[in-house]
Amino acid sequence: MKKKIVSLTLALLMAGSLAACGGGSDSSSSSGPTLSSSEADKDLDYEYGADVTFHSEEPVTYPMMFSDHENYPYKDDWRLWSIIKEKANVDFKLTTVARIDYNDKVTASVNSGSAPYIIPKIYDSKPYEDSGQVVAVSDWVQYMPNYQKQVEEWGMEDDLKQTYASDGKYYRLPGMWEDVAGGYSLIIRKDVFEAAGVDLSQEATWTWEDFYDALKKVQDYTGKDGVWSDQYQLGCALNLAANVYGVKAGNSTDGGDWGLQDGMKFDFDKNEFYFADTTEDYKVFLSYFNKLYNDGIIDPETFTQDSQQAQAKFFRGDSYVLSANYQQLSDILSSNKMQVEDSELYFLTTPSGPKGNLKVSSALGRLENGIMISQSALDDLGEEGFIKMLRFIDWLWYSDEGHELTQWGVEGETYTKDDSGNITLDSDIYYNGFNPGASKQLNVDYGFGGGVFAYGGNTQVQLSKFTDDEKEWNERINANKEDQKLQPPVLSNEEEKEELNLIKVPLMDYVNTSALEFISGKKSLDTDWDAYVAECEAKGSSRYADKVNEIFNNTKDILGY
Amino acid sequence: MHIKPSKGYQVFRIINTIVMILVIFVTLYPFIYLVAQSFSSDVAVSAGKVTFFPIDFTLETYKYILTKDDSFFRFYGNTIFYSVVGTIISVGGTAILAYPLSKSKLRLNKFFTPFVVFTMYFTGGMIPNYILITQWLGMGDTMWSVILPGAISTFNLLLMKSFFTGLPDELEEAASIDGMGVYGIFAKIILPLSKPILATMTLFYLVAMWNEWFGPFLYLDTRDKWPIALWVRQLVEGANNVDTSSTAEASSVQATLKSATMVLTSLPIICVYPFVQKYFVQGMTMGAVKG
Repeated sequence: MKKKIVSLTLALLMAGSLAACGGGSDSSSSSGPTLSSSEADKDLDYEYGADVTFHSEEPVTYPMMFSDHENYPYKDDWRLWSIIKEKANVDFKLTTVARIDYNDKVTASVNSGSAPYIIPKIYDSKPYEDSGQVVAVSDWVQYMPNYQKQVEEWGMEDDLKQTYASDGKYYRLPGMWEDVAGGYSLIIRKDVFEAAGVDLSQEATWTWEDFYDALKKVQDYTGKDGVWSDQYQLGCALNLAANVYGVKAGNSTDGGDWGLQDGMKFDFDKNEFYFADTTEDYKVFLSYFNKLYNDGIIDPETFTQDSQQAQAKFFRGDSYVLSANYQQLSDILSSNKMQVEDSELYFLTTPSGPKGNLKVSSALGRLENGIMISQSALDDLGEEGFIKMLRFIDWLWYSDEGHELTQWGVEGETYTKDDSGNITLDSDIYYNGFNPGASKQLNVDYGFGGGVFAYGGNTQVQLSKFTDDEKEWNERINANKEDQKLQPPVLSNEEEKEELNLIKVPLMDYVNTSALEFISGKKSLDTDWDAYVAECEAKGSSRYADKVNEIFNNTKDILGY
Repeated sequence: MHIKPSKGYQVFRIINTIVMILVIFVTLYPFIYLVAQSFSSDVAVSAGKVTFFPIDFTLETYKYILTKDDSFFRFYGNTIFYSVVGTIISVGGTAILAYPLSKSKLRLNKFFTPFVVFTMYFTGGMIPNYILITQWLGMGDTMWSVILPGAISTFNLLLMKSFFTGLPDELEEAASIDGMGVYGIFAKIILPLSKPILATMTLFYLVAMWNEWFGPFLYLDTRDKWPIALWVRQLVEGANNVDTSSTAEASSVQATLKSATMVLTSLPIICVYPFVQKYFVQGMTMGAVKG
């Protein structure tokens, strides 16, 4: 009898807690603004405007999440905080989280309804959109003059569509660049390549086949196998090539998804999606890497080693190619990681392929990570207070003044500016390749140039962050390569997302494994190809494409296709 | 008379020794590697040259950690504080709960025990826990949120309970006839007899608290309150975390810095082991056999 009572009590407890979970989003999550723009401008206790410094008469404090980077850990005496206080009269009450755990903490605090008002450094707002705890910020951007100005002047509308949710709104204020730049490419040992007789002057117009010829020369010259021993299990390099072969590829255990995603490409002529990784293009793509593997150019350990091992080989001079981004290159140079005397490094632009000489970085668009605003901000501050906070965000993250401040600090203290607007960092401060050996660091000691605030901006701000070498690299890209068209987003709702995911996970797992097997010769492109296509089909590649197209057709109007 | 061991036994001893040496090597090597890295130059480490002994021996890394700013000592101090206070509360709480549960004649025992055991198999999940701790109990961003939520581990509790059950009832009866009350018996008779299990519990809780990062990560908002484990996690995991988006900043924390921080962090807790080991073995077996 007692046992029955106990189990009954427990069962009731469980049922009770489940019911409590189900209650959920009864809050006023979908309520948009009610104030007209003239009403929102009445009796303000602060200054704001396009290219006007935001300043509140009364001191205000906004709770904010802060993603802490191990390279420049948070300090409360950073000049960054005091200058924001001086200019805007605003303080932050920070919830500081290590960047690696940041998303988990955001999930916990958003889903429990206790998130701070400002949640920056969000790359994807999708997991939070249905919680009812995040404001659909697209309803409110009309109150943000600097933001509006950027959207209009830089023509960001199409880019913004990438972030739409299935209701046609967006929940994240994305960072915006006027131009695309940067990204990953290949570092090579210039001294070895030139000694092997490779002419690097035409590098920016190379195809992947030309790159193969160059590697072949290096292999002959050094007499070694495995001249290319890459990090990220080749995932990064596969993605670089996939972009110009018109396919999707690249996934690694220590770097995540480089570009494989769900294998969908958009056909702009037919206005529909198709599964790219069973096409002839994909076969050509795989046979290229298979050729490299068979010739002994790619080190077989590439597919299993971790990034540190790959880097160690490159530093020791055992291999001559490494995929990386510019920051990693600066890092290698500034901390003298190369063990080979007189070695010279060169950053290639990404080679071209059958689909043209494309900027790989532009596939990601001009949007950056962005800011979500929690529903509690609207509930606590009321509409007027909420708009005030948005205008503060508008100034700090979207005005030219804000970009310059968060990136370079205070004019006269940390940097100087000449008449044409060129920025020079003070010589005793190091930042990302500038002033190597300087005693202080812009991000570590001052808090400027950090990832939470300093991203996005106009071309001038963007170029000011580059050293001369990095500028030259970007110019090489811009002079030779074309932008890619942005694929339309798939505005799936929660159930559709779930349905797609059920197909996607096993399918793409199979595609990725097979890719490595085709490259390493475990599967033959001649005899096993048809079986591979059939297996993809069986795992739902066409069903997936049909579903995506169905969703796309239903939401075409929102996207304007 | 000296008995000559049999051939089979001799062979067994040789093989046993070899296997044990291998096991010891496999267990110790990561630590040796870590220590060697921490005394090497960063260039040697990133070129993968360090295996057993430091290359380009240097103390710079340690100097850097200990003198750069006070953050290392602050995190360290936090960890010591959380561990000491947390262990006292945990061991005390476990003993106080385990003692009555070990008395099967108490009437409500049968009612309460299932509730205790229940928590071993089911939890509320992360979000409900988070809401409970931060909103209902108001412990968000305080040291209590680190110490209290996991204060009593059910497994340890059951271990202790079976230890108490194994103590002879006659002792308590004798003390009670001499006029000692329940609390007196617990404090003056039971606890002194339970040193082995208390030492074991202390070690269990201390090590768990020393390494604890998840609770602090979830409940603490202010960086100054972090324990050292969270800081080590940030350094080590940060380097393994590659962001594929083009403008993300990769970690450039030096490998030597990570190793040196890990060595400094694990050293004290390793030093605790020898002192409690004699109790440790005793406590484990007693609890297990008599339970």
